[in-house]
Amino acid sequence: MVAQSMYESARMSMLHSSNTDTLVGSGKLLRADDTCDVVRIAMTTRSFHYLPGRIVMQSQRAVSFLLVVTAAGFPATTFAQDANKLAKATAELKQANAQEKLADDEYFSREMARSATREIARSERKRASAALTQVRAAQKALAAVSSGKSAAKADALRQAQQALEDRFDTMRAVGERLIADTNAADKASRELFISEFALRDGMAKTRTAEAAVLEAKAGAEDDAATRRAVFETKAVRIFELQQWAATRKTTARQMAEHSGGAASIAMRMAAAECDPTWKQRLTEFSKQESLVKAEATKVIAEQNKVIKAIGIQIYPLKAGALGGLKLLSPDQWSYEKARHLLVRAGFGGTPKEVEQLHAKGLYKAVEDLVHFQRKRSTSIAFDPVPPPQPDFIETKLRDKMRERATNARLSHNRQQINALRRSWVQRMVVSDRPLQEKLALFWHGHFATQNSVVQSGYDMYRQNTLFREYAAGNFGALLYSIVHDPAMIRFLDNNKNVKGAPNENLAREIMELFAMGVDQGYTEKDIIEGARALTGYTFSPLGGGFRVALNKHDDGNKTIFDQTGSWTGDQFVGLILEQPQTSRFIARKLFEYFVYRDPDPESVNRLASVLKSSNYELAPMLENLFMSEEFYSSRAIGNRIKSPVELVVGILREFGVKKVNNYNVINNAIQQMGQQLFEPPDVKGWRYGRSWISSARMFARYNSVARLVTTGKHLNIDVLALLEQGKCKSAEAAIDYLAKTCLVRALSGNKRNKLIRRLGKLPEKFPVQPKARAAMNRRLRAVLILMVSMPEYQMT
Amino acid sequence: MTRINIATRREFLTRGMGIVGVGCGLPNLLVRSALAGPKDASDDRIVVALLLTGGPDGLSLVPPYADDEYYVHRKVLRVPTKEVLKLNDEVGLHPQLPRIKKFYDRGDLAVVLGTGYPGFTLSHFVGREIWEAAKKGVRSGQQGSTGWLGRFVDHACENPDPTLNVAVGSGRLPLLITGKEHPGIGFSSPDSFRFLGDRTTEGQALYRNLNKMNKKSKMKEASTQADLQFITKTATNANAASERLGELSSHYKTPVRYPDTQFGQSMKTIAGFINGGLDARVYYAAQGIATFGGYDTHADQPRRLATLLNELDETMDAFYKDLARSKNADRVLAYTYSEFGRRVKENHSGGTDHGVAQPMFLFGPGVKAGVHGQMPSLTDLDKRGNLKTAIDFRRVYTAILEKWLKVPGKTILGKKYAPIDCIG
Repeated sequence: MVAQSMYESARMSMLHSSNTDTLVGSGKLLRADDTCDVVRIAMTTRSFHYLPGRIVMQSQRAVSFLLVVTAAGFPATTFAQDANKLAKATAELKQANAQEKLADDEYFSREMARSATREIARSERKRASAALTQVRAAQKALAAVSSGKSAAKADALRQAQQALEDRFDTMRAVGERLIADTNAADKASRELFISEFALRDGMAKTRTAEAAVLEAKAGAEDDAATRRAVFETKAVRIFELQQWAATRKTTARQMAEHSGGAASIAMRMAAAECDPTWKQRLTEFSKQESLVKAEATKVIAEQNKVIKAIGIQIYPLKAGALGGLKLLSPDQWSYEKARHLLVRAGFGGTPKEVEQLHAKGLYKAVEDLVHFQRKRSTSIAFDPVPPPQPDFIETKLRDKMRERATNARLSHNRQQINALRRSWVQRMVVSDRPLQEKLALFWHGHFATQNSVVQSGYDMYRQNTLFREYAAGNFGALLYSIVHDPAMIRFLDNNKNVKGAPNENLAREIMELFAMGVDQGYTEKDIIEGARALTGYTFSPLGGGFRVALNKHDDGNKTIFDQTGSWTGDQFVGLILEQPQTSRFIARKLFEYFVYRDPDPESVNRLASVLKSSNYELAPMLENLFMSEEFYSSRAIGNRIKSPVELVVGILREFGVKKVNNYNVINNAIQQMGQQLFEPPDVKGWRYGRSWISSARMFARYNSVARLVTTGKHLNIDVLALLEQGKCKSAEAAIDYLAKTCLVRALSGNKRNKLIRRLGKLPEKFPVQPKARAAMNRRLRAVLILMVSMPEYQMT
Repeated sequence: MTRINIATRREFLTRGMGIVGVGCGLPNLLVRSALAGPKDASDDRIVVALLLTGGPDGLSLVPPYADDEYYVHRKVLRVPTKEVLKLNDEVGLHPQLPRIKKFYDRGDLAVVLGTGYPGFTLSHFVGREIWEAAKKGVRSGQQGSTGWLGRFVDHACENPDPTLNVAVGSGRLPLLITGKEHPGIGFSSPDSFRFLGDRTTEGQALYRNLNKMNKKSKMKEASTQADLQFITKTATNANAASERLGELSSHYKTPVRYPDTQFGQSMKTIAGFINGGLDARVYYAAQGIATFGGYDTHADQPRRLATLLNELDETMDAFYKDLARSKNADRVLAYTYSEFGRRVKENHSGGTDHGVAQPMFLFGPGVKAGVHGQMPSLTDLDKRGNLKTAIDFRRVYTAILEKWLKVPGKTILGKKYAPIDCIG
C-alpha cells in the first residue's frame, strides 16, 4: 500500500506538473533540469535519490496492483467480441507482467552487484592514493639522506632504500587490486546497462498491454473516464521511459566518476613508479579507464537527448489524460505563433524576445511562461501605508474635525492608489513574469472591486497582492481568500451582512459573477442561505484585517444545493467548488480572456475537465490552453481588440523600453483610453472587445500612443537601436522589421509601399554620433507613429 | 475647400448634400443622417447645457430683494435694492445681467428657483456627477457611466454619428453628454478632436489613407476579421467627423461679437456648429474653468461674481443673436446648472461657502417665460444654515425631455417626475 500511494503521488506529480512549484517552494527539488523535471519530481516525491532500481520496482508493482483493481471492476454484460478482446489483452498483460518480474529480479541483483563493486573500487582508489603518498614520502626521505654528509649515511641510506621498496611493494599490491576491482566495476556497470534496457522494455511492454486492456474496456463501454485512463497509461509509459533514461544517466555518471578516478590515480602512480613493467601496466590501465570514462560520457549525452525527445511526447498524452484540449503539433510551431503566445500570455516583446521563445519549442515555451515562479520576481518600490485613522474614530468626530479627518484620509488614499497604479503598470512593463501580471489583471477584472467605493488604497493593495500570489495558483484557494478580503467585503457590503439581517450582495455575486454564472445551477434560495453562511464575515475596525464576528454570524442550519448543515462562509465556498458549473464557468472565462469569445461548449468542457481533475490548480489548465490548437487557430490570432493596458504596455514591451522615468504618463494614457486600474466599471468588470472603441476613443488611442512614442523626457523608444538589432539595411527592410515588431500580420502591399515612400532612403551606414542618431530616430519615429495609428495596430 | 455658408439646417440638407458628395470619402452614416432629415420639429431641437462651475451664489444671481431677511443674512454681500433688475415683486436679477433681463422681457427666459435634490453633497465632483447623471452614485469617467443628455441621445438617435453630443471647452468628456451607444466627443477646441500624431500635410494625408476602408479587404475581412473592420469603420467616421467639425469652426464667420474668453469662444464654436447644420442634438459648455475657482466664491465674491456674470450676460446675448441671424434660435434651448448653491449666511472673507439649492436659467424662445418654483424661505433653514430645496431639478429635466424634446422623462431619468411648467 505504501508503494501504491507513492506511485500515485508520483503520477499526480507527472500529470499536474504545477506541483513542481510546490516542490521548488519547499526546497525539495534540486536544480531543475528543465527537460526532465517531471522525472526529478517523481524521484524527489519518493525520496529515492540513490537507488533507482527500487523506485522502478515499487512503482511497477503498484501499477500491477492497480491493474488488478481495475480488472476486477469490469462489468459482466460485456459483448462477446469485446470480451474476447479483453480476455486476450488481459492474458497478454499477465504474460508481460511475468516477464517484467523476471527482468526486475535480474535488474535488482545487477544493481546490487554494481553498487558493491563501485564501493570496492572507490575504497581501492582511496588506498592507492594513500600508498602513493607513502611512496612519495619515502622517495623524499631517501633523497634527503643521499644528499646528507654524515658518517651514518650509508646505514641510513640503506634503511631509506629498504623503506621505499616496502612502500613500492604495498603500492603495487594495492595497484593490483585497483585494476582488478575497477575492471569488475566496469563490467558490473556494463551489465547493469543491459539489465536496465531489459527492464525498461519489459515495463514498456506491460504498460502497452495495460493500455490495450483499458482500450478494450473503453471500446466496450465508450466511457470517457476509461479513455482518459488509456491516455494516462500511455503517459505513464512515456514517463517511465524518461525515468529510465535518467536512471541510465545516473549509472553512466557514476561509471564516469569511478573510471575517471581510477585513470587519474593510475597515472599518478605510474609517474612515481620506478619499475618499467609496472609503469607501463599502470599507464595502459589509465588509458583504458580514460576510454571507459569517455564511453560513459557518451552515454550521458545520449540520455540527455533521449530525455529531451521523450519529454515532448508526454505533453499531448498528459492533455489526453486530463481530458483537455487537443494540442498543437510541435511542427506547427512558428515565429508568428510564438509572438501570439507572448502577446496573449503576456504583453508582447521585441522580435529578439519572440525569437528566443520560438527557439524553445512550443511546449517548453508554454511551460516557462506558465511556471513563472522559476523566473526571478520583480521588486518595485511601493510603500503601502494603512489609512491614518480607523473609520469608527472618524464617525465619532464632530463636524469640522470629521470633515478634516475625512479629507486627510481621502487625500492619503488618492496618493496611495495612484502610487499603486504606477507600480502595477511598471510591473507589467518590466516583469520577467508577464503572465503573472496578465492574470492579476484578469482576476482584478473578474473579482472587480472599485477603489472609489472601498476608498482604501491599502485594502486595494492587499487585494492586488492576493491576485498576484494566486495568479496561476489554485482557484479554490483564491475563492476562499476573496471572501476573506477586506476590500471585497467592503465593496459588496458584507460588513453589513449580519445575523437576522442578511445582506445578499456578496453571496449573489459569488454565484453570479465569481464562480458559477448567472442562473447557472443555483436558486434564489441558495443565495439567501449562502448570505446567511457569510454573516459575520467582516474586517477589524482597528487594523482593517479580516475577522469573523462570531456574535453576528448565523450558525443555524442552512440548506444550500440541497445540502443542510450549519454552514460557515468557507463551507459555502467549498460547496460552490463542488458544483460542476464552477469549473466550466472559470474555464470559459479564461478561454475568452486569452483566446476568443463564444468558444464552443466542447472546448469549454475539455478545459474545465483539466481544471476539475487537477483540483482547481490553474497551471495545468493554462498549459493546456496555451498549447492547444484553439489558441493558435486563425479565429484567435490577431482577432482581439487590445485593451488600453495591452496597447500601452504592449508598445513599451515591443520596443524593449525598460526604463520609464514617470509612470504617471503611462497611467494617464491608459486612463484616457477608458481603462482605469482599480476602477473597473462595476462588479462585472471590464467588458473588453468593442467596448473600448468609439470615435473619440480612437483619437485618444492614436494620440496617446503617438505622444508616448515621441516623448523623450519620460521614456525613450529607440527605433534605431531596434533596426540595428534587426540588421535592416534599407527602407523596405526597416518597414518590414517594424511591422514584424508591432503587427500581427504583414502589411498589405499598398500600405507597405506608402510607408516605405514616407520613410525615404536610409543611409548606407547608420549614424554613430548621438546628434545624428537623434535626428535619424526622429525620422523613424514619425513613420512608426503612422504605423501604430492604423486599425491593424489595435488588434492583437 | 469650399467655404460652407449655409443659412439654415434645411438648406444644408438640400445644398449640403452636394458638399458631402464631393468624393471626399465621407462615411455612409453622415450622408444617411443628412438624408434622413428630421421627422418632425422635435427631432430638430437642440439642448445646450451650461455648467456654471463652482456653485454660484443664487441669492446674488436672483436676489429676493423684497425679503427683509435677505438683508439680515447679507450685510456685506447684498445686492443693493435699487440696482436689482426686478423680475417680479419678490425677486430680480443681478445688475450685471441686463441683457439677460431683456431675454426675460421678451419672453425668452425662464427662471426656476430653489432647485436641488433630496439630501446634499458639498463635494464639487460628486455634486456635478449627480446633476449630470440625474441620479446618485454614478461616477464620471467610468466605463458604463452615462449622463442624462447622453441617455437622451441613445434613446432618440439610432445612427452612430459621433457628433450627436458635443462638449466644447473642456478637455475631458463630461458625464452629462455621455451615452452608452453615443460616447460623444469633447474638446477644448475642434483642433484637438483630430489625429495629432503627425501634423504635416503629407502625414495627415497618409494617416487618412492608412485608416481608410479597403474595398478589396472588405469582403475578406467581413467574416474573419469583423473587429478589425469595426475599428476601421469607427476610425473612418471619427476622421470624417473631425474634418467636418474642423471645417465648420475654422470657416465660421459671424458679425456677432462674443467675449474673448474661453466660455465666449466655446459658445461661438457651438453657434458655428448649429448654424453650419451639424446634426448634434446636445451641446455642453462650461463657464468658469478658465477663471480660478469659477463661481466658487469663498472670498472676494462681489468683484468675481460681477466679472463672471458680465461674461455670462454678454455671451448668452451674443449666442442667441447669432442663432437668430440664421433662424436657428427657435430650435435651441439652453439651461444653466451647477454642482450646488451657496450658504445663506455670508462668511468672514467677503464670500460664501458651499450650500444647497440653486436657481436655474432656461434660455430661448421655447421656454415659458417667467419665474417658476418658489423662493426657498430665508428663515426656515436646515441645521447647517442652508436653504431648503423646493424643487427637484429632475422636474426641470422632465419638462425639457417631455415638452421640448418630446421623449418620455421616465425612460431617460428612470423615474417619473412631475414636470415644472417652464417650457412654452
